[in-house]
This record gives sequence, C-alpha cells and structure tokens, in this order.
Amino acid sequence: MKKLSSLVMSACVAAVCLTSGVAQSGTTVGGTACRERYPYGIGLVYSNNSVLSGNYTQGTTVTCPVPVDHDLGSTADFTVVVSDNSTTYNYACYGVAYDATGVLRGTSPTKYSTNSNGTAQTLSMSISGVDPGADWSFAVVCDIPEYSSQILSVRAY
Amino acid sequence: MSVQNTAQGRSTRLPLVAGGILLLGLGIFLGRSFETPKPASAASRDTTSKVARDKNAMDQERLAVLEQQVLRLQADGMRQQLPAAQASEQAAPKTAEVTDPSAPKPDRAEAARLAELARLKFLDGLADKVNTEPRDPSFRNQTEPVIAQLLPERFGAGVTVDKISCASSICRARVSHPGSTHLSNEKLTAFLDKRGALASLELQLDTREDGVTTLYFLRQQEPQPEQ
Repeated sequence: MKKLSSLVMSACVAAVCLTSGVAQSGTTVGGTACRERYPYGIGLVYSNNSVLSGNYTQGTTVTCPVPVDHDLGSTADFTVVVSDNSTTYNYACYGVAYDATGVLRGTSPTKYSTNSNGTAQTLSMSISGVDPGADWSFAVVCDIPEYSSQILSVRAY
Repeated sequence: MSVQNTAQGRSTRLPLVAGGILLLGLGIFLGRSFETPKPASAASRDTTSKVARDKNAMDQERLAVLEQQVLRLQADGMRQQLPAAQASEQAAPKTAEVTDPSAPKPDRAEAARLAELARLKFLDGLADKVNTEPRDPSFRNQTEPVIAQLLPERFGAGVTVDKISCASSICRARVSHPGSTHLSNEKLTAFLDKRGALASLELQLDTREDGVTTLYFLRQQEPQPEQ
C-alpha cells in the first residue's frame, strides 16, 4: 500500500511538473541591463546589479530589455523595482512590445513612482494582445529621477 | 586408607561432573538460541514469495501505466505549447527521446502564422469595440481633443491623423504616413516620451496596412499580481 501511494505520489509530482512546466514563468533582469537611450555620458552608474542616476541627471531615459524565450500568454505583465530619492521628480515607466521585425506593436500605460525616500517600490504594468508564442521582444522604458535613484530589477511575465 | 582416598576422590570429582553437565546444557541452549530460524515449511515459503511477486508485478504494471500517462501528457503539452517547444533547439533532441516519433514536428512558420492570426483577431476585436461600445461622453470629451492635438504635434510633417473616435473604454485614431510603410520608431518615441494625458492609456498599433497605422488607446484595469 505504501509502495503504491509512493508510486502515485511520484506520478502526481511528475504530472504537476509537466503542467506547471508550461512556460508561463517570467524573466527578471537586474537594473544593470538598462541602457541610457541617448547616451550623453552624463553619469549613470552601474553598480550591484542596479543602475543609479547621478545627482543632476533628472530626465534621463533608459531602456531595459527583458529577454524572454518563452510564451508569456496573451498579456505581457511587467514589474519594475525602483528606489526614488528625488523630491522633485518621479520615475515614469512603461512597457513596450516589438514584433519580430522590430516594429512597435504596443505599450503599457505609464506608471509613476510615489516615494521620495529611497524605499524600494514596485511599479506594475501590462500590455494586452500579445500573441501566444509570437517572437516578440519586450522592454521597459523609464525616466529616472536624480540623486542616486536606482532601478533594481525589471521583470516580464 | 584406600577407602578414605576413594571417598575423597569421589567427593572431588562430583562437582567437576556436575559442572561439565551444566556447561554442556548451556552449550546446547546457546546453540539453539543462535540458530537461524527456519521457515515453517517449504509450502509457506513459496506462498509468501508468490504474494510478494504478485504485488511487485502489480506495482510494475501500475508504474508502466503511469509512465505511459506521463509521456502522453508530456506529448500533449508539447503539442499545445508548440512555440515554447521550439524555444530551445537544444531541447529538441531531448524531447524527441521521450515523445512519440510519429508526433507532428513543431513548425516555426506555422506557429508564427497562427500567432499573427491571433493578433489580427485581437485587433479586429478592438475595431469592433470602437464601433459597437456605448459612448462615454466624459471620456470622449477628455480624450479625443488630446489625441487630435498631440499626435500631429509629435509625429510632425508627412503624417496625417484622422478618424479619431472614442467609445467608453477605447479610442481609435488613423495615422497616414505615405512616405513609409511603418511609422518610424523616431516619431513613435517622440510621441511616447510626451504623451501627456494619453500616458494613462495602453497603446495598441495595427500595422497591417502599408502607409497607415491605426492606433488604439485602451483604458486599462490594474494588472493582476503575479501568482
């Protein structure tokens, strides 16, 4: 009986592994994946897996590509973990989806940070109408506020 | 004297004999207690092993059935997740080992075609929504003028914007750019960077027609947290 139950258990485990193995999981990249869109060399710092703004670099726009090698389903969801040290400017981030030929197909609404004390904050956004299995590419575009504000991670799922 | 000696001899030998008997008894007892127990009979041994063999055989059969079911599930999952199965070329030989060789081979072109069809269906759905959804005058009055002002401003010369229409959860604008098949990324970036009140809306682009891009602006609910 015990043998049988262990057998059934192992089979169930295998079945669960198969069903949950359907590629619905996401991909996370560190902030160091973000690149300045118009690189003027104005002092973004890449450190400890995050990207930091300088003290006077407000309005700098970065693009953070998220390599996704699996089907995200019909909606691409994004989260960006940021820390905002600026009392005057906020993060403004939105997700973008390009098709296999590099043509923009959709963008999420823009989301803004609300903190100014450097506490980590998660901004969530999504794009619908993503083709199941299409070879699309995804990125998050952010305006970074000044004073060593950081993008800690970007996730697509 | 000799009688006394004999009596003495007996009295000294008697404990020795008794000790010897005791030792012998102890030896027999210990010998039995350390002896490996034997089965009650050959018949009972055969019955026990037969039951064990039957149980083992049943377990093996069940295991085989379960393995088949697992493989079938795996194959079904792969067929359903065709593009995902194609994601890694390295994974292909690995999966080929466990799936039915007669199963259809993933076709990348076919998957892309189906994906594009799904996308077109989605965009047709958006067009239907604009045409059929009840109008929300408040949303319409707030959004249509912004679209009419911002798009031409950001896209610049050589682009015309017309057919702006808002329902209750969606707006549509038709952008003509006869000089190019697609709206350039430069123009789109100029718009995305400064889209004002339109930043709160999701943007979808229908690019199926050369020289024309239809933009859809969607009101969106908050995304669900990841499970």
